[in-house]
Amino acid sequence: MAPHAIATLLTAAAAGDQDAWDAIVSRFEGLLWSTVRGFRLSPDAAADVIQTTWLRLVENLGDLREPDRVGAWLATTVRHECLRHLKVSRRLVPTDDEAVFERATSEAAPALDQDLLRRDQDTTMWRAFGQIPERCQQLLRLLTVDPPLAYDAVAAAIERPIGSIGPTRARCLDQLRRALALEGFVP
Amino acid sequence: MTDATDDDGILDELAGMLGRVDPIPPQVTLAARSALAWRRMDADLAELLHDSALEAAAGAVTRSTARLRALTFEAPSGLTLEVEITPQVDRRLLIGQMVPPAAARLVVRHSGGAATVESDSLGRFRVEGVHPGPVSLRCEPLEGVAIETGWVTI
Repeated sequence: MAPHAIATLLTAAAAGDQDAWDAIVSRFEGLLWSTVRGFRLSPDAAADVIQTTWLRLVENLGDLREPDRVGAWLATTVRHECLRHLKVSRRLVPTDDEAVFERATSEAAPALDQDLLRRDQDTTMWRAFGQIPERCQQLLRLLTVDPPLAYDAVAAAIERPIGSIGPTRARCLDQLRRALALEGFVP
Repeated sequence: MTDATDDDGILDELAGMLGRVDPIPPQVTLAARSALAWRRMDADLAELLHDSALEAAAGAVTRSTARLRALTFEAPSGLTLEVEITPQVDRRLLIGQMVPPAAARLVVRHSGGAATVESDSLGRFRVEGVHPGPVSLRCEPLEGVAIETGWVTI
C-alpha cells in the first residue's frame, strides 16, 4: 500500500471511518501478531498486548508525527508492550535487550491447538523453528508476514538497524536449515 | 552458503507453516476492529508517567509490595491520576487518587466493559471487578476538561 494511502486511512479513521480503520487493521495485524508471538507470549497475553497497541494507536490517531511510518510506530509500541508484559509477569530479570534476544530457547514453544498440527511436515518444521534462537524466530516471523512489511517496521520490531536485516536473515535461515535437517525435515 | 532462491523457498515454506499452525485468532482481529469505538472524545490525553512494574524488578521487592502495581498518569493541565492495581483472582482492584483532589466521575474502560464511580471529596476512588487486559480511565471533573489516560495492559 502506498504511503500516502496509509496517511489517508489514518485521517479517515481519526474521523471515525470504520472501513478505513479495518483496512489499517488488515494491513498491520500480521506485524503485531508476528512480533508478540516471537516473544513467546501466551495466546491470552498476546491478545492483550495487541489490543493495547491498537488502542494506543486509536488514542494517537490525530497526533502521529509521521503517519507514513505508522508501521514502525506500531512495531515499536508493541515491542515495548511485550517487554513491559514480560517484566510485569516477572519472567524477565532486569537486563539489556541483547540478553532478552539471546535468552536460551529451552522454554517450551507456545501452546498449539493439536487439531492444527494436521500435517506431519508442519509439526516437524514447527519443532525445528522452536529450536533456533528467539531472535531468529522473531526476524523470520516478521519476514513471512503477508502483505510483506516495510523494512523500517521490521527493524523497529526487532530494534535493529535496517542494514542488519539482510545479513541476519541469511544467518537465521542457515540456522533454520540446520534445525530442519536435524529434525529430518523433507521439503 | 546457499543461494537466494533457496532462502526464498524456505521462507515460503515457513510462511505456509506459520499460517496453518499459528494463525491470527479471529477474536484478535474482531477486538482490533472494535478498538476504534474508544476514540478520545472531548478529553485531553493523560500520558503514563510512571509504572512501578518497570522499576520494581531493579531493586529488592518485598513480598508485601510485589503484587501491587502503581501507575501515574499526567494530563496537560497538570492533573495527575495515581492508580494502584491489586490482582484478585481473575479480576483487578483499582484504587486511585486524583491530584489535586477533586470531585469527579470516573469511567474505567476495560475488556469486560466500562465501570463508573465517583471520587470522594479528597479525590479518592475505588473500582472493583476490572477485567485483566487493556484498561483506560476517563476522568470527568465537575469543573474543567475531561481527561482520558493512555491504555495500559493490567
